[in-house]
Amino acid sequence: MASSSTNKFVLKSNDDVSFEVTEAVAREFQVIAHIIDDDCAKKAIPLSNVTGEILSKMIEYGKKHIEEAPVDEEDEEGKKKLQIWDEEFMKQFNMEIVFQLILASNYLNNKGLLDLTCCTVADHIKDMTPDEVRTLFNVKNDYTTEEEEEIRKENSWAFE
Amino acid sequence: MILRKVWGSVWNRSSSGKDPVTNHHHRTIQVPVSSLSSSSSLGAFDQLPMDILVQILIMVEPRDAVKLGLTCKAWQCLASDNRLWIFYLQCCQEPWDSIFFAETSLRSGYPLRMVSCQSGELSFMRIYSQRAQVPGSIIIDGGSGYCKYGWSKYASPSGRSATFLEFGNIESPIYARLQQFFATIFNRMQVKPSMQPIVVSLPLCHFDDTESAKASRRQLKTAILNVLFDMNVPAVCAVNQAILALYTARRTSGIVVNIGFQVITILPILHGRVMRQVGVEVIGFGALKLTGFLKEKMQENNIAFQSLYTVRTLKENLCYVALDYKAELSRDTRASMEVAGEGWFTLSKERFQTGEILFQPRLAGMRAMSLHQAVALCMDHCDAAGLTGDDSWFKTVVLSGGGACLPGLAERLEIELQDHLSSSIYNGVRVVPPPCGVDTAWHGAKLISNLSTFPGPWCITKKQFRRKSRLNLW
Repeated sequence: MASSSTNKFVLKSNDDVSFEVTEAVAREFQVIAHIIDDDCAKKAIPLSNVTGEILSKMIEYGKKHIEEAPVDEEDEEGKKKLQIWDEEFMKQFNMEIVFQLILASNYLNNKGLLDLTCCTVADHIKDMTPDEVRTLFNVKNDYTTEEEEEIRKENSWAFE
Repeated sequence: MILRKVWGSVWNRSSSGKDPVTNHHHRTIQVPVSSLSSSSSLGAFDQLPMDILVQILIMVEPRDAVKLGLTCKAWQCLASDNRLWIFYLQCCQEPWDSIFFAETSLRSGYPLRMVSCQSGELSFMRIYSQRAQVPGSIIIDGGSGYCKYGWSKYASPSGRSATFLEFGNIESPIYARLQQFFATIFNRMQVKPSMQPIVVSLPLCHFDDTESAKASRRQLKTAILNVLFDMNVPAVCAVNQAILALYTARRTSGIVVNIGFQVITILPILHGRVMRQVGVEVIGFGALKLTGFLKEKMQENNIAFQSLYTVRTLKENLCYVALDYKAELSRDTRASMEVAGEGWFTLSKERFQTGEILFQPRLAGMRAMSLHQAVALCMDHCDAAGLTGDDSWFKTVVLSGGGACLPGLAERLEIELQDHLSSSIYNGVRVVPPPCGVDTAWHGAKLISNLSTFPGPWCITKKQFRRKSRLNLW
């Protein structure tokens, strides 16, 4: 068996964009790792739930995390560097893309990217008012004024 | 209802560990949130599977979860789930077990009423919210030897002072002395008495089940309340020190063994009440005697020291209770420590002989009852009283008080009890060392003062107190 650094695989998005990646990068996504282990990766691996745009970003993330992986658990500097890169990486996306990344990393099972994308959403919500959340995420307010007032009153501590 | 089930499966999955990957996706993608509530939607979040919504909620701050709940009803349903708020409460400074114990067992004040969390009676979102709004209070646990005082929102007492040396006996209802005591503590904490409620411990004294003892207890409590309300404290919660220690051990029933400054008190407590009719045992010596005994031993062995304070420090740091006294005598038990200002000290047998007088008072020339005899007697009385259907309520023995912090004490007491109790009574007995060391009672008061229902059912206000006094209800 060839080593995972030279072995190559082709990932194909649902809009027919193909990406050639090393085995190590492919294995960053657990679902693909299983396909490889089951020996079902002879040809291109079709990923029916991911677009080319999203897949290219995920591969970029996967590559970085292979190349710059911290040496060991104690490698605080390496971890910090990667964390800074993660933050910068996420800054380029709007919420729509972030949601697609969440779905795709959930589908392909990459825990690191899933945590990172969820955390981005959570961080985004932090400084917003309920109204701003409704606008950004297209949530329809179905409370009456009285109902809303009551919830506000009961949880006044959260709005101080 | 369906939402609840999904929460359940998501939660179980995240705790049960790894699922096969394919299965995992199959399941989550099959349950799109939008299909669960046709009238109400989560907006853009509808496209995310439930376990990811859970993950995002866990990552936001509690106040953000409230905010999300305010955006629409579907979000409210998701963001008010008990499991989410239990998770948030688990991230708090206080241990979750203690929060859970307090909120289910102590929330109603007296008489205690156990609330079940399964029955849906408790909303942990509301509990979180109410706890966040509970005002900070002052907690003063005036032990006869040492007083521990501090803020209810802090992790531990902010200060301690030697009660007896500074104020004399604060267990007698002398107005001027109690006033000086509380005024001094407020002063040290740099707080105005009128600004926040106070939780005070009631000292362990006058324990007989007689009218005169009852009158003495009432007199002391009234004196304490009078002093505090005259200082314009808005509300007072006064609870027996032993009961507070029991709460710290997350129990409402059990036997508390308090090794105080002057005496050892053994109290049977059922549902947060001292069972005086069963019998409280008192042994006429305490931590002070232990220090005194160590002092004598050191003098006998020509170990020079300058102050009793040094002896106390050595007791607290080097002394312990032997599991098997005779065997310990033949071992090399030497240990040394440096006491600031006095230099190095080395103790050997004194280290465990000191605590041994609890089990063999005659070693110190006393004819008192030994600790295990007194606890065994108390258990026999509890058993004979037949207060409840089963006898499990008195099987947990919680140690409290400064003197009870000697390492090995709990283990040794358990062994001695085995020898002194019939096997049916001994079966199930457990002796718990002081859960928070010398601050055990203080932490019980802290549990109460952070309850979501505090100060309500636990406190008496100035108005209530004055009215009661007028009607002579005390």
